[in-house]
Amino acid sequence: MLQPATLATLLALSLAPAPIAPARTAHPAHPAQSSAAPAALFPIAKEDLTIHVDRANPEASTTLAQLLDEFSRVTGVTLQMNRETRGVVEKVQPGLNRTMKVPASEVVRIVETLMIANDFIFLRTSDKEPRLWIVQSLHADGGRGSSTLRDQAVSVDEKDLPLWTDHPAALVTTTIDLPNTDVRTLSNSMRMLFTDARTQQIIPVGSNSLILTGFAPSVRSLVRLLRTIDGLSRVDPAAQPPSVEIRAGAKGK
Amino acid sequence: MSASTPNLRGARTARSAASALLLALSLGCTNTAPVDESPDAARPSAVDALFTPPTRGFDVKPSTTLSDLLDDFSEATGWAVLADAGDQRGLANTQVGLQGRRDVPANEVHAFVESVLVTHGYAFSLASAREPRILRVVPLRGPGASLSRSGAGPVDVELADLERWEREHPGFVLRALVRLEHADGRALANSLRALVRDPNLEVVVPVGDGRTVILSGLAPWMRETRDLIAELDLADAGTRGGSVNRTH
Repeated sequence: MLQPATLATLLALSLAPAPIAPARTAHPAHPAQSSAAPAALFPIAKEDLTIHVDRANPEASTTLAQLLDEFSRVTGVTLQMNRETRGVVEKVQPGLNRTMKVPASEVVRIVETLMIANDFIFLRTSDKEPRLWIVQSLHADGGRGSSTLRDQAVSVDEKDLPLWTDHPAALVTTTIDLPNTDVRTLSNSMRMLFTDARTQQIIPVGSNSLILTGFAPSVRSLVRLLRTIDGLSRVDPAAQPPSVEIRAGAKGK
Repeated sequence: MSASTPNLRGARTARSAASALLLALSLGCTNTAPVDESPDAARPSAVDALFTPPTRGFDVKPSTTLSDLLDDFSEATGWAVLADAGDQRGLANTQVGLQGRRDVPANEVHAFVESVLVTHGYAFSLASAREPRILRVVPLRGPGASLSRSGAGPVDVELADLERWEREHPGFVLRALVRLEHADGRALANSLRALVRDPNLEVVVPVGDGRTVILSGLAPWMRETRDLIAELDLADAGTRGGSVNRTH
């Protein structure tokens, strides 16, 4: 004979949604944007890189195009961009206010930081040698061309998200289970915080799972926030549910 | 007015008299900021770890532009400043707007520069929290405003650190969770929306079991709103205390 608590547990398990498949089932990812550890996807630069800024002589300052050429040289990644993007990166400087020497170990992170600040991201079309990445403007075709960017996000296990925070221009998708939370209500509330439909998405799945898409640091930050919220919503099984008694003559009946 | 619908104006005027109580209550509002356990990640809640003291101060003239000010800021703090082409033009064409010269001592560099930025509609976001360190300038309002700017998310902070952020770093968009002890988060958030001056910048969102609220905005607004929530939560407790008896 099963104890009532055991029966309740079994019932809860039987009603619980099935484990959620990786997000790529909901969003067919670009073939190259598959789940993997970032160490395998991003090369390490072979030498330092210097970004020159000369306010008095702007011609002497590094442009985005020159920065990308240097990035390509020190990482071995071949970059591809369309004519429209090439036209922009040749005219625009990264936007720093001082010359910066970037250590080899930080080259990919810093270049991604400068790219995203100028509304560009990298899309990897080949993760093996020879590596080929596309430089994509978030405003391509007046924003229409970038409407499917989030579909090209990399599927990442939640436990691997910390490894991705050094890639601020990487779009990632992850699935989290929040056992103590009504995810439909939560996702409706959270939509206020999802302000860029090109790159961000929150989708409730079943009753307790969420698919989150966005830039890696943002997704990681949101996951931490949601985990905290879910933890706060946990019902302590040891606590007796209080019964509320309204006293006679009390206000607010 | 019914005791179950607290008077916000009355609650505000009572703030100074109840400061000691508020302090206790603000501590009572559960500090729920997530803890980042990765060793190399930014620890925005630890203000001291993130911001080392500037090495020197500088003079600011009325004609100093925001670009010049940020150059002085970089020299004093070691933070490089990043802005896109449009914002760079805006910074270069905007004067600080002081009435006279101002000597900014080293220990006031961050607060002064960030206050000036906010006055002119800009904020900082953390672009690279470790060497080489970079702060990004983002506009607070308009289509490219901070919260909608790619890669320029708010800094998750501890509730208990809000006073320090307000005093020392008023130019960052922050985010924190407030845990309510008594009030209903959804009703409270609906009430507080009337106090949101800019919905693209200031956010009050009830989440989870209805007793947790996400706050996001600049530190002064965050601190004010947190204190107001504490008052309302306390008022709600008072109402319930007079009418509800929990038994089991």
